[in-house]
Amino acid sequence: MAFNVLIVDDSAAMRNFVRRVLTLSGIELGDCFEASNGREALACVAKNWVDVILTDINMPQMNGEELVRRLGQDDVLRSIPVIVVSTDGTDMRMQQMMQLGARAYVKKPFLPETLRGKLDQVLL
Amino acid sequence: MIAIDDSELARAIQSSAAEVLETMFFTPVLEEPEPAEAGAPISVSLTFHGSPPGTFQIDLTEATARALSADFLGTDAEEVTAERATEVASELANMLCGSILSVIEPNGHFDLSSPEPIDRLREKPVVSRQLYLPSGTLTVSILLGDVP
Repeated sequence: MAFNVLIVDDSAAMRNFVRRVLTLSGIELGDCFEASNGREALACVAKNWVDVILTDINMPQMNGEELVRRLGQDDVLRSIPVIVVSTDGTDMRMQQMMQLGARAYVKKPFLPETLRGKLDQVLL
Repeated sequence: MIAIDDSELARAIQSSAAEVLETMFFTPVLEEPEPAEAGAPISVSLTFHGSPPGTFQIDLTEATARALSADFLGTDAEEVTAERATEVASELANMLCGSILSVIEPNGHFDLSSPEPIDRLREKPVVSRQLYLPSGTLTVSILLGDVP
């Protein structure tokens, strides 16, 4: 089964890196969508079937925290698992994002197998 | 606010930078500098608010930024544009700063600004560490204290 993934990060370079890691991880990828902030991400999931969202936190216009909160307020969209991928590795931030509804948290820097492990955790 | 002396901060820079560079850029940190291509300097800075607040900066040459970009993106250095090299340097600054702050204050809460390319080196005294990479030197600097 191929999974549709949405990568949300304001850095095109980081989106490119995550896409590359996903490709190398061996996971069967379907469509790989990209968004540069939470607002674009919400627009994307409104139009497309997405199996998992990988999101940064610090982004302009709508950050990852607000994105996870908005997804959690929607009866349908709350079922999409969200993995936070962030440089912020402080305990407080991780707990905060998980309480908001994120299913997993990957701290940058990360190994490809770490991301693969989290994907397996939320998708399988 | 935490109390951290300059030597602890320098160690945090060294260990965090090595982890970020080796994990995400597949680039080792060397013991000694190697001859590297000279080039236009690139400096990227960001501020962070929290306990403690501060300013963070990295300095490298465009050639080093291109080489790191190529490693990060899985492409050839010749294919990396100056714009993309600066973008990757900004992402490197973001990752390094977040990683260092997580080491010096794992229970803290920080808000990082977006990294911005800057024209010149800061003149304020900072804790700074030079990291020798195969493609050149990366200088990582951090100033803890009130953000201007």
